Amino acid sequence: MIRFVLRRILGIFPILLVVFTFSFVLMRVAPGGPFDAEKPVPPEVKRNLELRYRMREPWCEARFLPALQGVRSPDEERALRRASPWASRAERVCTGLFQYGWMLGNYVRGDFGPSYKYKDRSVNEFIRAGMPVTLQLGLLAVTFALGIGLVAGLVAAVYQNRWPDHLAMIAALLGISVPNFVLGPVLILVFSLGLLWFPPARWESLSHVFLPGLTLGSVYAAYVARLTRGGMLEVVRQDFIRTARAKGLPERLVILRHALRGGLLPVVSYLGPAMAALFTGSIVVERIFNVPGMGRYFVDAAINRDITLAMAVVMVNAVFLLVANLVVDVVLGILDPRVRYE
Amino acid sequence: MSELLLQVRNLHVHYPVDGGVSRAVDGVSLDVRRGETLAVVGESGSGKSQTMYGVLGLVPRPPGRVFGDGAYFEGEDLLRASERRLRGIRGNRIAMIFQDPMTALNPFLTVERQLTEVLEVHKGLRRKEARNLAIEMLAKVGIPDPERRIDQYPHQFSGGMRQRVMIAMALLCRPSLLVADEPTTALDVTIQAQILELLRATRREMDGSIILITHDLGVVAGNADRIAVMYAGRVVEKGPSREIFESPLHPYTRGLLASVPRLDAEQKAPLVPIPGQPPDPSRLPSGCPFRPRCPAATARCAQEYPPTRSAGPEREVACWVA
Amino acid sequence: MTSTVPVAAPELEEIEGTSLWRDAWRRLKKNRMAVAAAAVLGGIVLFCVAGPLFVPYSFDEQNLEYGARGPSAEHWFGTDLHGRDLLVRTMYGGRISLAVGLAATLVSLTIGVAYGAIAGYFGGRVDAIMMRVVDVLYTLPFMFVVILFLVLFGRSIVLLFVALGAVSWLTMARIVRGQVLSLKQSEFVDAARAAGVRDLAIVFRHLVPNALGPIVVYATLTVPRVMLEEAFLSYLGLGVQPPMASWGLLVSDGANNMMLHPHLLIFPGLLLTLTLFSLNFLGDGLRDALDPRMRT
Repeated sequence: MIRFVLRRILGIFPILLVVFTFSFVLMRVAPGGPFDAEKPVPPEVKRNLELRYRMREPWCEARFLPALQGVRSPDEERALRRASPWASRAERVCTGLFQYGWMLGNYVRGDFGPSYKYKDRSVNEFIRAGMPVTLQLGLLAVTFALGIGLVAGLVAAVYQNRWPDHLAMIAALLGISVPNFVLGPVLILVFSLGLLWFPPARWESLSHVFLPGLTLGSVYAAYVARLTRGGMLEVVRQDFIRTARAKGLPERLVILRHALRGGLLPVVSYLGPAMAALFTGSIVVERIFNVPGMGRYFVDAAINRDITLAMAVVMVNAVFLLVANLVVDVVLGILDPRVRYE
Repeated sequence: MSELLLQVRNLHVHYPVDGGVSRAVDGVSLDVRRGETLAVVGESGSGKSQTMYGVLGLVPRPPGRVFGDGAYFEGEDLLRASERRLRGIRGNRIAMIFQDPMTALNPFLTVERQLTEVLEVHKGLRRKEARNLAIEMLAKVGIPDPERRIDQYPHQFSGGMRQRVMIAMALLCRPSLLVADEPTTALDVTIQAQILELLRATRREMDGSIILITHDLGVVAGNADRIAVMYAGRVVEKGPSREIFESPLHPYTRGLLASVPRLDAEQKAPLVPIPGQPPDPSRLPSGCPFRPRCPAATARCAQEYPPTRSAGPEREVACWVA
Repeated sequence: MTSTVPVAAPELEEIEGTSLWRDAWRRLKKNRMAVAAAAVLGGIVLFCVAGPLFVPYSFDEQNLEYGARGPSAEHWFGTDLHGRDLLVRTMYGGRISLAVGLAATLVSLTIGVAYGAIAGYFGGRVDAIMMRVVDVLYTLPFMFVVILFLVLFGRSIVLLFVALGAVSWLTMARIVRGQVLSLKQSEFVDAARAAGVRDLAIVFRHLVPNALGPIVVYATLTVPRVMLEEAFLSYLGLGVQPPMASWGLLVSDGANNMMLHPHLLIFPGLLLTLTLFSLNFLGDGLRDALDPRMRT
């Protein structure tokens, strides 16, 4: 078991490297620079910015395009690059490699560098501010999802093909079908603006977090309910349940001791991928309810081409997801001895 | 010796299907005497297992339906017993072992948990005491190093060992009736022999009765005192083991015997499979359900189901022509 | 239990082969909810495709002075802030949402079936590596990458459905692989191999057609998922661009103005939800009809 966990932990690093490399390449090959959107700055200032973010590497320029070092205006640089395309490309690849190494080194040390957009703030500050909020929201949503989903799924399984089952499953299908960006505004409309039960936005007290948590969790509650029902019905068909009954065990023990564990395996395995979906969902829910979390920072960063921030958000999410999946695998191993002794 | 332990009278187990009823068990009567082994023989779907599920209250209801004139076990009618009462009998005085020990044991629980819970529920023992008894029982059914192996999971046992665990589990409460449902079908031939030997030894020691459910007449030979042959939810022939092997009356029994290789006598007799397939229990043919496959069928067989009649001191058969 | 009596196997298989789809069809017709879902879906498709012919407004015809008003005899769904008729915009939005759903599902179908079939057929190390990749991809925050992609490379519809299709093939790959793994043991595969049919031909001519049931079921369930994702991106302003409309974009507009003009949220939201609900119901019905054992 310990070896299994260690191996999985080691397995996380190459995956992170791949994600890092992929987003880095995406960022490098994207047309347009990060500073294009701003008002034009003097070439010297721009050059200094680019040097600071390692978008220019003096060594590479000296090696492949020495003429570039005297050039000051963007038009001159464009003309020069057009004149010697191969050297220009080599210079770009060289710079890219330097930037890659530099950023990777910083990431390993947990330093995500400065924001492209808000030059006086570091990406780490944004993450420190946003991540706890998003995690709270996610935790709340998972709690809702498991609380509602498990109960509904078990009830549906016990009353298979009778009205509680049909009711729960139609509700679950509805939960899967109502997009959270429809549900959220409707909840605000009804409960905040209509009934005045909950405040419509912000992130301060428990009453603020209730509606966003419910909005984010509803889809997963629906999936958990379906998986619980399916898992339980699958398990009670197994031979070992017949054995448990043939042993004269009371029905309570048959369900709780013999069926529940196997029946919940699909739910537990689902929690891994669900984490990814939760992060995605939080993008919209944070926007609807004006919650200052990572999801909102990410969309703003993407739209502002604040690529250092966007990339850091992707990486931090990837770390969380991989860890969450690892935890899920360990829990699966605890629940299912066949996995443990593979 | 001839005291009746279990007496099943006209048992029916029905399941609703699209536009009709599937008669899995269609009026079965059986007797099991104390200390004997009764073999219930028939093809898949002939209702052998369903008969025992019906008696023990293991038929899922709904959708299933179980009714009949009675199933008396030690004088008590199990068909009319409460679920609570049945639970007290199952695993305690009547125990079952199943075909596939791979799937019949819970993969998520240790062998210890699965054995001790039987004693906890039926005998009110505490776990520690139950554990000691369970270890003893594992040793008795031939599991080496039971103190260590009891804490393992089923998938860490081989097929034969798993079936031994099943048997140990069934014997924990010293039941007076052991129902072995195809106990060797999923096992290798050499392991089969060991398990059958274990069952024989068990019966000698516990002085109880065994119902051996099987489709394999090879398993029956030398292991059963009496045989009941089932076809399409009914018992078509009943009698002492030796007599059935030597002079089968029902054409179906004859067909079964002809399709099994035998070491004794008639070495040169060819193996003859029975043509066709067993009928769908929701669409039984008119008259005798075996008629479409029967080499001796007459016009009468298509009209009326043959009543069960006596054919000797201990023999019964349900056939117009036998 | 195995029977001691040999049965006439070839006859049996032929019966099963021809009646699988007919049986499924019969079961589906008996599922009243699934039939109702299919009818609702048909109605919505008709509404979106043919509807604009019967409405005397175009989707971008503005009337700024008129502004946003609730439903009336002239404008059944009311008008938006620019005075555009919401009914016709909802129809056009539906066309785009449905088109993106279908196109992206086709992309995901192509990738998922090919990937899963190849992994399942070749098995062994190839399978282990290919499925490990799928496991890893499952854990990644895909939507974030899609968003980054759309922002950096421009927000075109084609890019949108390629991106969505490219990230939603994982489950399809798993399902197809599972099917192929069990099917490749069949005798007809041995027969084809013995006859010298090439591997890829076996995969795509023999195995994939036999796994069609689950593929159809899962593809039906992929359409609403992809539509949801499109709506999600459009809601964020990253999908379809104005003055074009998709349901996600309309819901986004509606949510921004829901206090004063709730009809802007309610009509497109209702239609989107109804469509997704029907598609999910139909998918579940198909699954129950085609393979009662398969559950999610």
